[in-house]
Formats: sequence, structure tokens, C-alpha cells
Amino acid sequence: MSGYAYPDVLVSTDWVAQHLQDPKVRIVEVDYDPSAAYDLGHVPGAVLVDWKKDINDPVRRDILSKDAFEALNSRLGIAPDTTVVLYGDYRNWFATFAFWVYKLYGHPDVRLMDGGRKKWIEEKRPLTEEAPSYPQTAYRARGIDLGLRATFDEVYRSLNRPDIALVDVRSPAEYKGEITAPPEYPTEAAQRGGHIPGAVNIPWAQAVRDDDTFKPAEELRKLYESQGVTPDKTVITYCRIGERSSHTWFVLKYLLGYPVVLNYDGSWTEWGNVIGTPIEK
Amino acid sequence: MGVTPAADLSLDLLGSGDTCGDSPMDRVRNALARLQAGQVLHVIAYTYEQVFTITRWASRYGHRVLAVESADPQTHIYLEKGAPPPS
Repeated sequence: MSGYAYPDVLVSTDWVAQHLQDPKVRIVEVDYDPSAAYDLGHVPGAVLVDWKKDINDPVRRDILSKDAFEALNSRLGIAPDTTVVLYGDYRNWFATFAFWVYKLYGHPDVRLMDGGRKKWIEEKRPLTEEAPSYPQTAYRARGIDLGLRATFDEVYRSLNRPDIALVDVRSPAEYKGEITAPPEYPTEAAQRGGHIPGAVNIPWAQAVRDDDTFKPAEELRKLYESQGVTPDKTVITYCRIGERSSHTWFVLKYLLGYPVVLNYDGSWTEWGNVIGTPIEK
Repeated sequence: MGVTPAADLSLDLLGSGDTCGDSPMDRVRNALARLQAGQVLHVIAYTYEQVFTITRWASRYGHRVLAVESADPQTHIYLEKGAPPPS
């Protein structure tokens, strides 16, 4: 697909349509808001991952634990050798976050449906409201791959380092500190607006076309390299809570093949709230 | 052809969707929150997916879809806000 470094991680809606009955493939819809997505109709045979309930630990404000990841996949009938195909609402943001989590826990074959839920519906492909169930498995995950995630301390130590590129994928208004979080997202607010010093602003949506499919590799390469985000650097992506930045992380890591790309899921809700951290506007 | 319902509030979805809180459904919910039960929201949608999601969601959650009028490239959706569920 379009000159990507790892084209197998991206599947088309056609590919999914041809694998709806494939027992080695599990289609997974990942939604921030299932009431306005999965519940209204989904890809036949697709199981639901509710981003807020299933992928996060709201007490620790962290991704789900290894035990919880194993329990989730066991419940969804996913085995370590299952091909997991993710797609979802909000233009695949939360599906790419789930992709990142699957990679953190070392699932061997996880893919993303290009264009997500929106493209499937636009193409008027079949939808069902029936929630399927599959035989439970006894899923065991590998250990966590910390090489895909940046912590607050790591980001702090990266300041002023020319070998590290920070990419703020939020909107220009968020980057400039004109807005932090809308009122209906009270858990995503920050005391201060702005961005991490030295970060460049490349809004996540610049990587996709109007139908939410990814742009060709050459266009993507120009987009990031023109702002100094080059493959010789360690790249750290962030947004507000780490989901839009997982979309850009996916682009840089798997479509362009940058060797070291980390998603800072603490993102602005952490950096913007911690006392004494420097910011720019 | 039916009569276009009179609207109490109009919402144009052009350009929405790049940030959390700005998705088409976020904006529809926020607009409905500004209305009283029985008032009408006019939504200007631009894709089949928006029309599918908004009309199905509205029907499922107690609102009434009064009309869906195509005027390429726009689709005009008229939603009557339902009564809140009893607490």
C-alpha cells in the first residue's frame, strides 16, 4: 500500500469484507463512545472494545495492566496467533491507541482498517447491531515493550536535545494555548495552555485524506521531514491524553518506518498540570 | 414533498472532527443540550456516515427524526428533542 514501510499493518475495507468469516481473524471496533458508534451498527462479527472501560485503568490513570489485557483478549476470544484487526470511531484515534497497546503487550499480528468506521459506513457495507460472542481463550501476553512509550521523566530529559523531536499533534489553537479542553471533557483539562518547549505542531489530521485513509508515504515523509521530524531522531508524539498522538505514532513507526518513535500518553493533561514544568505558547 | 420543519437552532457540521469535543456527534449533543424538549434542531450534514449516525442515534435515544432532506452535497436533518428520561 502506497510505499509504506510495513504495509501489512494496514488493511483495506475490502480486505476486511473478505475476511469476515475467517476464524483466524478477529475484527475489533474500538470506540470512545459506543452509544454513538458500535451500538448503532458495526462490521458483522466485530467485537467491541470500549476505550474508557477496557483499555484504560481509570484508578491508576494508565493503560490496562497485563492481567487486564490478557483477560480482555480471553473474553473476546482472541489467541496469541489471532490476526487482530482494529477500527473505530473518532477517525480511528482510539483504534490506533489500542493498536499501540497491543504492540506494547507484544501481540504478534495486529492491524488497522484504513479509514475506520467512517469509511466502512460511507461505502454502505453491511452493518449489524448484533454483538457476537466467541469461545473464551486463555490469552497470555508477552511482557510490556517500554520502547514504544515515553514517560514524563523521559520527555523532561529530552528537552533541548537536538537528537530528539517532539511532535505536538493537537490543533494549532491547543498548541498555542488558546484552548485546553472543552467543558464536556472535564478529565482532560489542564491548568495551563501551551506546548512542551521545542515541540513542533503537526496536527494529526494532516496525515489523512478526507475519507480518513492515510496519505501515501511520500506525502507523509514530506510532511514530517519539512518540520525537522526525521528518521535519524528519536521521535516523541503527544496530544492531550495520548490517543491522537497514537495515530501519528502509528504513521511514523509503521507507515514511514522511523526506528524509534514513542507515544507520550501522559500528554498535555500531565505536562500542563505538573508544577514547575516549562511550557511555551 | 413534505413541508420543511421550522427549526429553533441550526448546526452546520462543516469542518468538524479534528479535536475531542468537536466530532459531529459531540456537536449534535451539545446543540440538543441547548434546547427544550419539543424544540427542533436543524443539522446540516455532509456525508452519508454523518446522516446514518445522527439519525440512528437520535431515534435510539428518544429524539424524533422529523425530516431528512438531501440537497447535494448537504443533507438537512431535522430532529425534535425528546423528553429526558424519568429520573
